[in-house]
Amino acid sequence: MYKIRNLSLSFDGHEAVRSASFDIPRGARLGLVGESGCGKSITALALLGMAPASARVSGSIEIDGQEMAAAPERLWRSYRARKVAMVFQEPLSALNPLKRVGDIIAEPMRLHLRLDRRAARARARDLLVEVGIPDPEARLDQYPHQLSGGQRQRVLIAAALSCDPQLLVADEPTTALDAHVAGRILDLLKRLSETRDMALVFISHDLEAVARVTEEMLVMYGGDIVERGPTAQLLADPRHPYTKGLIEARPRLDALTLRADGAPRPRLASIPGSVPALADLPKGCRFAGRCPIERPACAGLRPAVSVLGPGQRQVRCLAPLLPAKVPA
Amino acid sequence: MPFLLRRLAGLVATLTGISLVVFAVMNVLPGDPALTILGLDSTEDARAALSAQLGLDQPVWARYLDWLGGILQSDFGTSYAYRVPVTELILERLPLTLTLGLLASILTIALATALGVFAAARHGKAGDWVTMILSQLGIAIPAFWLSILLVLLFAVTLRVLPSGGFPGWAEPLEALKSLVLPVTALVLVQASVLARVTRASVLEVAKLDYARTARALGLSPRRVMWGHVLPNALVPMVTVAGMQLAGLITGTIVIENVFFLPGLGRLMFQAINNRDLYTVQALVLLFASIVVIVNFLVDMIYLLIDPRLREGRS
Repeated sequence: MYKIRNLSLSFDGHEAVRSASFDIPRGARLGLVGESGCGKSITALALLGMAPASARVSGSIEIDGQEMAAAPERLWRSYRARKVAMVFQEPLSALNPLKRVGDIIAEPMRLHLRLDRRAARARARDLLVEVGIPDPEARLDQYPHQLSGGQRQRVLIAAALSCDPQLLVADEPTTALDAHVAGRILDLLKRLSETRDMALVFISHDLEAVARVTEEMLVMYGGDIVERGPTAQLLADPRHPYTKGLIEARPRLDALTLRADGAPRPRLASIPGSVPALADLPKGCRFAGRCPIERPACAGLRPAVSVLGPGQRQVRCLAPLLPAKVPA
Repeated sequence: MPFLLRRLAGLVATLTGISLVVFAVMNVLPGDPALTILGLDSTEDARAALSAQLGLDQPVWARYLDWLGGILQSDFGTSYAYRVPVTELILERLPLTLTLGLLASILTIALATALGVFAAARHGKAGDWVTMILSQLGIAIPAFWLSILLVLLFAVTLRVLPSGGFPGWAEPLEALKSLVLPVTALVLVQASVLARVTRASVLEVAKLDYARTARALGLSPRRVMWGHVLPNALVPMVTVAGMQLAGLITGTIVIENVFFLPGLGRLMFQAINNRDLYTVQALVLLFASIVVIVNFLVDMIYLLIDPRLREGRS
């Protein structure tokens, strides 16, 4: 359905995304993981043809056989909401405060599907039911500020689903929410993807969330896709030193509390250094300079992609880690 | 809605306060109306008799209450200079000033919105620069000087529009023609200010997440602008437009005098020269009331625009 080949996005000659290639098959749930500034959000925007005007886009984005990377804005506009829709991070600021919930959800349907007011309202009501909002009839006439954070995010999802897109891009959709609300939104996204046979690109820095929702994941660092594979496998057995660092650095409750004997747990592991600015990224492997197993050649040479095992897993590293000993 | 009642009570209190200030100021100003009316040759006795007839020998508070009581019955007193009821003077000239003011307001808002949106949509490009430079000029040029330039160009050189005067409403087309230059002079200055506010406000809102959400749902730039960005950019625009109305009122006083238009502004100017106390008082009160009422309407418009404000007040 989506075929992305050698997609690069650069600002002032600096590549924020460097020749990314991946497919999004129908109904697939793909996680896009990395620290802020790694290029995941701008990749997501590029999937809707909404990369910032200052970005130079090259490579190919093929949607259902149609080449879209250089497509005119008008064509992209007809694809948005109908083929691809997006859910953003901050559910309050992402909703127009002056419009009623019903009008927010109905507007794309009136525009793209040419529904009349009544039909659009009826469908908006059904969508609210689908995303799990109680008392939908009353909600239609409310304003965003009258809803809770979780409900706002559900409204945003309902608006995104309004024209039955084949792909939903969710950019950190739960970061701004309470943990228990976030969990329910994650389950909703997964369920919607299954029941609608709709592909989902789920962007997050939260590995637990990615594990909960997606089947496959891409790890991005400094604009490169450094590792990809089935989510469960990749999390259990990372082969790129960055992925490994990311997994070890994630906060866990047991790492933060005292042990049974009262002694403190060891400190959280962290990746040394910080993500360099776009202009200061190394020419070769983007992770050079922070990598614990770096070799002299790494900073100058961009590693090729190695295919691991039966072809499902790929890693962009000169010296990928050895497989972890997974207990049988 | 108790909020509305509170606001209305405030409105009445403000207007009463204004009447007090207006009356006080006019009564401490130097100059004896009787002397002005009768001239320097008049005798002391004649002036005293006239003062008594006009009620000027009464104590100040009694005169104030008398004046206020009259106003409540739409009697603003009798003009010393014209010897007719002030109400009559005002009603005669009101249509002209009202037309001038309303035309100028409507055109200001329309022009400023169009220019502000145009500039914001072309942010950083040539169209934006040209609009901003022109509006800067519009702000810098005084209205009376612009009027003179307009008269020189359109009335003296091109001879397509009258340089001043007003033919009366009997000939509507001619009447409107004589308003073209005055309205233009008023609008160019006010619209320049409002256009810049509009542009800044629109640019601010266009950066926000919900503008991006609207684009992500496939809305055209025009729909995003007029349906989502502009409504959210309205609050600062309405604030400034409301304040501009005060500028428009002082503007009409100047412009009516430049173009010899027999409206309230010109009446005010003449009444001040003639020490026509009741007329000046009535006009100042009228203009002040317009400003206060517009401010009240601006508050009501905020509530219409933003549901979050409606909720906080009810």
